[in-house]
Amino acid sequence: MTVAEPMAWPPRDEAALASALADLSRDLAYPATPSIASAVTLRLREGSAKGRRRGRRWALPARSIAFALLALLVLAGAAVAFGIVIGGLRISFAPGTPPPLPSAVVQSRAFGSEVSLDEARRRAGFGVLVPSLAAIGQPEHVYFNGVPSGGTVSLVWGPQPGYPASVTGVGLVVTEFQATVDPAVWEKLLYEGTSVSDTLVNGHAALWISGGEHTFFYRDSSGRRVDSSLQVVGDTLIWQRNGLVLRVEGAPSLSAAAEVARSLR
Amino acid sequence: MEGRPLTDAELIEEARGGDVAAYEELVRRYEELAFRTAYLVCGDADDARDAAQEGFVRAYGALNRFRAGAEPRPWLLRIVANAARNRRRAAGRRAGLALRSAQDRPSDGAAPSPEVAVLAGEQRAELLAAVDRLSDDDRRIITLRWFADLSEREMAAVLDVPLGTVKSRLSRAMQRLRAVMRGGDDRG
Repeated sequence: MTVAEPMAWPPRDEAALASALADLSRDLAYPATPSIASAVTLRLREGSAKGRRRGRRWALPARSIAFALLALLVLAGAAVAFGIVIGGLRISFAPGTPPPLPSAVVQSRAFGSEVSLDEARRRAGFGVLVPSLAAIGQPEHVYFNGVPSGGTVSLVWGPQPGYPASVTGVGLVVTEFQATVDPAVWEKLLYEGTSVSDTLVNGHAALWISGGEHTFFYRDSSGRRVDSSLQVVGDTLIWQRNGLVLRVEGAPSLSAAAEVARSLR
Repeated sequence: MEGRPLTDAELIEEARGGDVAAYEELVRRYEELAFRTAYLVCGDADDARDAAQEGFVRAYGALNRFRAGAEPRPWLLRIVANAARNRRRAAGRRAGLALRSAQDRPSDGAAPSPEVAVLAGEQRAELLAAVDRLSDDDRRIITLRWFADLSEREMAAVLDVPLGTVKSRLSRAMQRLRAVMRGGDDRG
């Protein structure tokens, strides 16, 4: 039987170092591999549905297509033939009940578990606000996630005219949680092509983040920074109000997002 | 041939014909490797997940350019690693690698082979800390080689550089790692 000898430390030469690294690799803790295949398939199926209409195989990143559609909608809002006007865009609504969101979307967006609005109100450590805009109506889906303390409530609407599907199939999202946005970290977390402008929502300072992807940090109620990095795929309005951080994501323009924001009750 | 799982090449052929389910099977085979490789490149689990997803979506769009008979593994990893590198540049942050706790280690019961070093717990931690102190480029090449267990040829594909460049960069990175462990901070 072979007994390995403890090695000289630090490693004497490159071969010894290589051997030590190989040994170390067996003890590395990786984060659990998330389910990637189903999310990829979801994106491909969305993409090929769009691609077929153009008569060729879809091959661009989904994000480019989403933003191209967004730009087209902004330029040609009047082409939507019915509905109401918000912020220069016509918004109308599909009839019937919404289809369930694919589980891969729920998971990858860190929405948490689907609950009723009443249950979200019971579980959240704060008063849940809901848009009172008649045109938007009640949220189609409500999710509760236990982090940060007090929880996060996400109100989700599927794609609708005026709120085109993002790459993950979501039309409009309103997110609420108890936290303090750390303004010092914003700059670092925005991906290329994203711009941030200051604005006001009902007199509260707000940020309008548009044209790209971004993730964000927040602090929990004990002041600890949480790296939850909720993936944002649409333009987002974010602001604070009475200790709550509120986000409206997926509205096609700042004025449309502000309209949703002002209607929160 | 009933019941025989399709080879990677067969799955790619099906996927080229528009069979998304065949592509999903291929992604399933490589998702863990892709995720871990992306994690080593960008150092953040959420970014790694997004990079792996984005990489596989891009690879699907590029299937027509995939050379028949080539190895899909380095090709897929290169696309995923590119997506991860872009995120790393954008995010400007990096989580340190961590060690598993002692009870989570695989207990294969076999005596270690003589050519494998046996490190004490504090040596593992010290070595890992030294890797984490390297520059991004050095850390990436060392983690891809020893932690993702890629061959030098695969690394050349992943990093999109010639094989000779991989060899020289790896050698320099190893020298600098030894310097860090000796207590110096030789970045030259």
